[in-house]
Amino acid sequence: MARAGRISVTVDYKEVEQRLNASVRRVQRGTRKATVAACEEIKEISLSQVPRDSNTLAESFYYDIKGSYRNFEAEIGYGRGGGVNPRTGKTASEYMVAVHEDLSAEHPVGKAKFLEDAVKEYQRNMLARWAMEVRKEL
Amino acid sequence: MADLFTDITTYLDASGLLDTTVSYDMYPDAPDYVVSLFEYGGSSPPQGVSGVSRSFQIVVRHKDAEQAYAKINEIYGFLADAGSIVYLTSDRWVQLSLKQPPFKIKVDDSARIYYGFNLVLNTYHD
Repeated sequence: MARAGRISVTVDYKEVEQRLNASVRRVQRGTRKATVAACEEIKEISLSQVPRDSNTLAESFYYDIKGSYRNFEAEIGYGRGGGVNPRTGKTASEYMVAVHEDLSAEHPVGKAKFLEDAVKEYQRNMLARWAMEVRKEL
Repeated sequence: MADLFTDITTYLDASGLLDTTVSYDMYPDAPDYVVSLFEYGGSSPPQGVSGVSRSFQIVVRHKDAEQAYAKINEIYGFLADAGSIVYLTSDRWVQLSLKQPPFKIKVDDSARIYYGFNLVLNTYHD
């Protein structure tokens, strides 16, 4: 005959909360590292494609990462630094759109769409790369 | 079925948007006023999915900046109003995505101004 009984379970929410918070912090850290890794990878691809009449345009590459916790945003671009092309006397920000978008131009080194294509190339494996970076932290 | 350049041209021309020379993947020396179509890096879909994603740039070149801007905006506005699924011809439909509003690309040595915008067409492989 079954006997009536009681089971007592004690849950230490404080410890659960601490562990959850630690996991969230690790995911945040991983997300930030994944964002940096993404920027670095796009930078590497893009710099291998950017026309180098002089190095002015290549040297104007930049990325900024903003945000915290769950949301990070990266801005990637060219035209920062104020370097002047010695051949034209123009700053990179004055001519980068023309170099990026003029699909008729022939460049001894590099090509048009040097940033757009780099982002596209990175995007093909983006989810896997991000998952890998975040997983390293867990 | 014609190639995609021809199909885009046919579609725009049928709406009376092309009133000058149209060039593909290059700018002719003359006339000054020209509408040019360029194709650049596309991408294949994931394995098992049919179709391709093809990137295009439409450019209007003109001596008069206002006219260049007006024409590129006319083409852009027409495509923006066309919806995402467009029948370029009776044989070909595409999923159309405009990447940005028209912008100035450059001014050449002959003081001709170039305005353009980029778009992506998802369609089947020719």
